[in-house]
Amino acid sequence: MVFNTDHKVIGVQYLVTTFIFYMIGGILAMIVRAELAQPGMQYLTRAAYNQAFTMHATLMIFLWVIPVFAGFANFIVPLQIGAEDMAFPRLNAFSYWLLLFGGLLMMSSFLVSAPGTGWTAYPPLSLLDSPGETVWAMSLFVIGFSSIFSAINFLVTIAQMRAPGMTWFRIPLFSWAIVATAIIQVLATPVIAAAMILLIFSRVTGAQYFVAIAGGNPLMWQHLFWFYSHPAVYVMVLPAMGIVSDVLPVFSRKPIFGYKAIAFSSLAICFLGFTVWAHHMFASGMNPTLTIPYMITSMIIAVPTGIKVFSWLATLWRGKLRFTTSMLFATGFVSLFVIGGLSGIFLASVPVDLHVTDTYFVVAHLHYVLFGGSVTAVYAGLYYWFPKITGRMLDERMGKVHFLLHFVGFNLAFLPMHQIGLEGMPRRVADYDPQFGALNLVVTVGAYLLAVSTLPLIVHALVSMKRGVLAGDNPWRAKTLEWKTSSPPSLFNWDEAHHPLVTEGPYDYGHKPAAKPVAAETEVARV
Amino acid sequence: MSESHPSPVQQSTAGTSRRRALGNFLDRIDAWGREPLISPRPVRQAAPPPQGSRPNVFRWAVFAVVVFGLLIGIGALFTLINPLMPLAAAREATAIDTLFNFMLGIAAAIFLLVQITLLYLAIRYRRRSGDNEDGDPIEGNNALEIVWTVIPAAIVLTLAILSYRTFVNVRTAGREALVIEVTGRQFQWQFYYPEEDVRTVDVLRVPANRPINFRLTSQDMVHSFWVPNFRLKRDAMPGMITDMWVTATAVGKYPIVCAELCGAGHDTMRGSIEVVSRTDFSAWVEAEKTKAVDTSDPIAYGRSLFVKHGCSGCHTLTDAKAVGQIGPNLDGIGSRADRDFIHHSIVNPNAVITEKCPTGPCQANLMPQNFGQILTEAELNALVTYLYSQK
Repeated sequence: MVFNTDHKVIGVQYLVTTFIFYMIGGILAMIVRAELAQPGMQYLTRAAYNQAFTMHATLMIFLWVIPVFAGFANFIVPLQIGAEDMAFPRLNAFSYWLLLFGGLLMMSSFLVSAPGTGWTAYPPLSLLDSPGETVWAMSLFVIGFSSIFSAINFLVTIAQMRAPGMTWFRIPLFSWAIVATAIIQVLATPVIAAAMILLIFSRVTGAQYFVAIAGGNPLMWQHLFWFYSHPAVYVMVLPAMGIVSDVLPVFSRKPIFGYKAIAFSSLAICFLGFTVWAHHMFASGMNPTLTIPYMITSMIIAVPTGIKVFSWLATLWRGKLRFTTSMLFATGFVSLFVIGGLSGIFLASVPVDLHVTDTYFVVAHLHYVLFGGSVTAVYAGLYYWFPKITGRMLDERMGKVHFLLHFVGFNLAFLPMHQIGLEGMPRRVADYDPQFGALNLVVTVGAYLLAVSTLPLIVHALVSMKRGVLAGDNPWRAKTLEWKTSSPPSLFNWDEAHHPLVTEGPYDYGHKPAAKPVAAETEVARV
Repeated sequence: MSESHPSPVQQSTAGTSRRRALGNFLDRIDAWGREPLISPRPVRQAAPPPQGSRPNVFRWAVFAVVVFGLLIGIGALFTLINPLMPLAAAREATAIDTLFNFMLGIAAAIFLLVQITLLYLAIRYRRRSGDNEDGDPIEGNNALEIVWTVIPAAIVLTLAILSYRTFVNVRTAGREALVIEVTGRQFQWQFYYPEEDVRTVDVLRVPANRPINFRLTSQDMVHSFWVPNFRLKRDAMPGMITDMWVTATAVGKYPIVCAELCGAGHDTMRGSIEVVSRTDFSAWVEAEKTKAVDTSDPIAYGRSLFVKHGCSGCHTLTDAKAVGQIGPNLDGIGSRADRDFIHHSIVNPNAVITEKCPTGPCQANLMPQNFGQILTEAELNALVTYLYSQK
């Protein structure tokens, strides 16, 4: 059972593992916010504070948001395209075990004093930091390979393993998003792996790649790092957009508005994402004139993003919206992500960025994108696919409590950060000017509310797994293929009664009168 | 929903009357948008047009323009009432604020447009209980999709052009600029005015209305020189020289902040910049140049050297008001070490690495190794005497 190659088991392994890392990262965030609740140093030394936020960011990015989508994709993508498993089941299992090993390696850096250089690990600081920095770099190298292997697996699976009739334009948008995501992972992750090797060599053997007086260049690290880490933002956001594009039509009882536009905008973001990395470096040592092309490409990314947002809104228009918890989180995603997108335009503008970069404005922006965006979509996906994964429904009332706490806590925690940053508080500081005290207290209260919001989820997910209402094959009356098999699906997904043969698009709602109760069996019989 | 698959979600029937009232209100707005622009009949008698009639595009366009304009107005008003930025104290700051406020107006309008639309759609098209029908099979609309591709593209293109113009404006070299060399080092800013031959630490004094050319570098980590009231920052990189141009306009004292994580004491790396009139600046420079250093009292002289040469950036020494967290704590150093050891540790800091530093074990190569060259013999003696006096 443990060393399993079934994509569904591996998917669940990913989801559970990453959720545990999410909790650890969350506890670190609570520690950071406790220290920042009021001016002055209360609980931590400055060095420990730096370690706390560095590990918070690293765990949340590399061991939660990126791999949690790999978890969903593992479970859902083969089902959505009508495959029996992933193309390379053993490689798939290997990816998971690499991730777990890398994660444990990452945690072991606490044993030798965790890194305190921020997740960006700019040299020379990262060359002189505690021994945990080397462990940190090695574990990211391992996790990177997990990411590359699973991306190759998804690309081959989606290209080669589709069921009869599953043409490219009948692929559900979540799987489309995984295609775009996997392309980014395959092309960008080797670059961060190379950067980590250079960092490890510099630390262990005293190599001078990043030391200016020895002929190296500290800017080279920044370029290598961001060449991966900006596209990585899209690795974290594209699958979230895919989940929302799958959830909205089901609960609107309408086709997705502009299917091809959404699919192609994912590819456009995937391509453009490789051309914008230096917008993290507008105030750095790079030639200021070179910032202009990066500003233009960064702003252009707003266009495909806008296409998606407007298409989602148009999907709701004249629908029959059913506000299940999943739908609440999906619409919540649209609401919060737009804020992160808009603040991103400010950061893309070079002159404005010179003021706001490296401040709490950036902290607010990235949390609106990665928490308000990605994590909110993770919740939407969890409430949506939990019945398929476990065969039982999550409790809707508890889910709504969860949504309310999440939405209120999130905005309380991150909205004031915009103003804190504009007024002059830099990021990554253990202490700050007393003038920022009031707003920081509000932020801390919101952050703790956000932590509390996960409790109803954990409790009712555990209870529902055992005692939830039986879901049946297709509790949401959805049209995508994963709902046309049993819940949970059998070992090779499709038994005699559920044979995947695709004759229509993934979101063909409303074409025929659907007033009569439709059970999953009759649905399949019609197919 | 079949009996065997009970719906997990049943809409509550309680409190429907309020929802119905809201729904009716929204239905009336919807009906208003479908009426012809000039009603042939008195409005009072006009029955709501049947569902599915074509929307009056012109009427909706007028409506959209009015709402969008209103939203931009609200955004602008908000900025005026609640300034999000600290006082603008430089020509560049005013230019960047103008750009920022313009972007904020547009962003606020888009924000409100999306959120209000989302809320409207969520209420207007919510499923009524008992309705298990699907919505209309609308797959897309080419005209609409072109509109929401072209308009955002036009907006970001405009913003890019405006940003470029502001960028050129804030990067333009001024004439007769005052050059200031800025050196960041762990947890301290050092300033040198090469033409005036004046040095200061953490406290910067500049004349108003004269272009200033900052030349930035770092002795150790990457630092970032940020004056929030100027809206400008630039990284100070080891082994490189970067530059920044600014013309201060408002007399006053403003913070200097390090904005790039540079180690355990990153948040303590703060200074201040005082903008004064040109005459005050000249007077200050003269005073600095002619200020004789009082070397008669070796303790006071040593203390001033301790501060001037940046020891306080890394070491804690209560007598000199130093709170550095990087190197060994020097309180009471005179009772632990003799004069030779102190002298040796300043000139050749790697010879003995103390075990315990405030944030962990001490590390070699952190302390600059050139104090033997920088300090004169007399200065070195005064510094050693001062430190040895700390019992």
